[in-house]
Amino acid sequence: MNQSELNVFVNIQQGKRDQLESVLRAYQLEWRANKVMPFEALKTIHFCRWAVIPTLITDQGEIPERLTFESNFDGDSKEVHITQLCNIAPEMVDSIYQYCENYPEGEALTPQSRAAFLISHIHPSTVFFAGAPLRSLDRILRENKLRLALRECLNSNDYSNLSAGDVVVNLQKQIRNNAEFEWAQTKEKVPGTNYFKLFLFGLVMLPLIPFLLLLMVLLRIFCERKEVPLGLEPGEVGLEHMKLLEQNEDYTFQNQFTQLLKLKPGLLRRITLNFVLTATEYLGKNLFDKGQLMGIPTIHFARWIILDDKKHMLFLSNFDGSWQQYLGDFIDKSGWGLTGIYSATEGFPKSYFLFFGGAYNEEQFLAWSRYYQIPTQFWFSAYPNLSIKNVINNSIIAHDLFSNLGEEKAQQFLNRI
Amino acid sequence: MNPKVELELEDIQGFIIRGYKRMNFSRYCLLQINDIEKAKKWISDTAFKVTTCVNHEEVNCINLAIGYPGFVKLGLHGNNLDNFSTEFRVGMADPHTSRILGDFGSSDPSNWNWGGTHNPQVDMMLMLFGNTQESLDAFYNIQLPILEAHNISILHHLDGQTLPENKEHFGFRDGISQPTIKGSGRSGPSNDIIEPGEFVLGYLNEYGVYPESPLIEEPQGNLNLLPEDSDLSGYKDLGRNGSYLVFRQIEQLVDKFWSFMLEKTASEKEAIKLASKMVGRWPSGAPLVKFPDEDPGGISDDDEFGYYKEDPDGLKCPFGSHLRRNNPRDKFEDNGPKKSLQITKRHRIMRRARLYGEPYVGSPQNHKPAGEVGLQFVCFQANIGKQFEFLQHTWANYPNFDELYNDPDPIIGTMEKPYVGYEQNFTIQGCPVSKSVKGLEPFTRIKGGAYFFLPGITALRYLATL
Repeated sequence: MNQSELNVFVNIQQGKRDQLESVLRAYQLEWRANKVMPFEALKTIHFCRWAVIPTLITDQGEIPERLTFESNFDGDSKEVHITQLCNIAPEMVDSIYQYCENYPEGEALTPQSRAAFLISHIHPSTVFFAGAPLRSLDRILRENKLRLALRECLNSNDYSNLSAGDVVVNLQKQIRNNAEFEWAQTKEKVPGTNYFKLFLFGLVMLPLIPFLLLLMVLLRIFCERKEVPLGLEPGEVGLEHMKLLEQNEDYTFQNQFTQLLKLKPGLLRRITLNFVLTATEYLGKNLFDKGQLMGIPTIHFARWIILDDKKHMLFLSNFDGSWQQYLGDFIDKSGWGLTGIYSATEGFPKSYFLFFGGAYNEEQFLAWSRYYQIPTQFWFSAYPNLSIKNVINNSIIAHDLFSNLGEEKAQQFLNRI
Repeated sequence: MNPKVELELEDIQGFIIRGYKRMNFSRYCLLQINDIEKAKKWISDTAFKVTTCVNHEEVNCINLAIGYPGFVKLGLHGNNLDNFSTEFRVGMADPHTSRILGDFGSSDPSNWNWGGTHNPQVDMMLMLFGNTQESLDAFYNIQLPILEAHNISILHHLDGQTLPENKEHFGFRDGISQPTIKGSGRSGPSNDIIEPGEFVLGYLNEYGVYPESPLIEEPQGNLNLLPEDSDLSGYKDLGRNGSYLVFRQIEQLVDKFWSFMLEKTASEKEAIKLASKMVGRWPSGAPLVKFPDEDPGGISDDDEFGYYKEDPDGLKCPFGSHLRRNNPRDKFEDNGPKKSLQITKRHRIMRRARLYGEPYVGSPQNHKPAGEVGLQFVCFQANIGKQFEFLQHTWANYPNFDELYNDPDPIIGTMEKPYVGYEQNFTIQGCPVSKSVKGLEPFTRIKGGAYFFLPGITALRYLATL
């Protein structure tokens, strides 16, 4: 099953932002109070969110307030996904979009027009990353149940005198006898690194290296020296802003991150950004397919969306742990990659030759990241108690359970449970 | 990174660098300022008495910490106050901070004895130490009339002590692994020597940058007293040689702790083993990595070990144990030893815990202390968010830590009511199979707490000139 991304951007009616935000916050309170959201009945949404993008000022004038909806869902068709969403949760959709421009009302509001409205406002992601591709929500939950059942077997039986291989045989027997896990006897696809595609990537990149080096030098000469970083320390981001962000954080051990960035003008920065994002997209799909995006082991889904005629970029991610942990991982594991992307946005700490400096300026990077973050009014996770590592590990357990493992592999398998 | 660091030891308060081992008795006085001018005079007088890193008192030590409300009262300008870190400004009792720290239920700040949402604001904390109870009492009695004369009231005072073998109330030797600050003149295990900027402001940290420091952007007071910002912003630096101090009063539920261990095992010996697996060391302090099966006895300060080579699968010291997760040393997640150590070094704290209540060393036979007992947990760091809060949240409370699913830190990370979908287990890695101990309950409870700043000596003198 493929996972897909959906973005819907619509303008908010003038003066209705406060009402809209309070509706979204009310839904958020319900979810936090463990109430089942109407769209959960679809059983296809892994994560979703609504966030209000404030009015933006550009050279060509003002861009009015918008509402963005992000979902990470099972399936290939955004249209089908929207139609299903509208059919299963029409009241919820109406209660939110009634505050948006051109939303059908009265008799004009029909199941068809409701879906058509949203479909007409779809906006593609520039880069979409999934930490555990190919897993449907159903599969993620099933595989977790299987692991729990195996865990129970380990807890309730005395295996201390058996070899690892014999323990696995015993586990297989117990699972075979359990009708709930009949599915486990058929192997499902686990993504493997696509060496052929990586080879192709290398083949394409090799002749591009001089071009990249040239870009790095040109950036150094023409852009980086003139660019002005935000230059704030974390404490200077502002208490009010911080409180707004933190208001909707850390209610579970997963969190959302919504960042609205202004792209630097100029052809050189634009070319480099395209180049780096294209590489990220490609490597994200073919190399970073085991729950690690450039070594960051906590991202379930992430996306970059270039907006407004390349004036703005929105970055959305759904991750494990706290903001502090997430951003720390960014610097510790992948400062260069982040700098490669975000040095094309305004206020980023000073970069050198595209990949250097930038995120490695820890204090300024943390301040930058909070400064450009915007509050998310509603956020949903279908499995807030599973880390991306858990999801991936569960898949490997399900995959290996009925495989022929030697003694050493059997021990590794048992260590995973 | 930074081989020759010169710390200005005479300007740094001594408690940051030294644990005052000979000062077995302590009294922390939570203070309220009632007359600002008199309080400034008192701070200026006290600045000359404060124990620094170069004083080696035999009988008494004294240190002074200022809370955020204190800085506000003393008249620091709003723009200058804004340069303190966000965590320090919002404080420990803030609702978001509570979510990070897991302070819910009976640990909720609304139930605290001090520092909580229903308690008066704490402006300052005077920390007094004595080598005997008598010398401490005498020292305290000298301070009382002075405080009174300056119209400073004591809201609450917290008495603490250290036991001869440095055991805490559960019965385990405590405070063994401490980072060594580069340039402090102290020595310690080679893999735990840390850049000073992780603990003291004004110096480079483990990222190679200067930690955020409260700069004086809005001129006020006698600025000639203050040093320049090391980061060359051109402003004077109030934070240099200072450190953020985190204070938590942690009640230890000794009876619950040992009853749980006994209930889950078949013998007292096994109960000790289970408790030790949860802690990460034996009661003697001996590390599990070196003694996986039995306590060698005596007392141990052994801190020269790693996990990468010695115990990569957690068979000796479980991944979820209190010590291993809060200081993963050279084996963190699937990183190599060098990278792991680098990450570990960015999240170290300098711990200064002391005991309160009846001096009690718990054990399977002995677990009913008279009245409340616990720890006065103090730690120093340059960045509360990246160090103390990160450790409590991400390495202690987070049940999915590393490859785990449902395992909060069994000693300090469990909740009375876990989030939906979570059990609270402790997994003991084993061969061929690991076993989970289920149904963990909190063995600790937060009774009070606050964030303070421990300024350098000249910064204290400067505050008196505001």
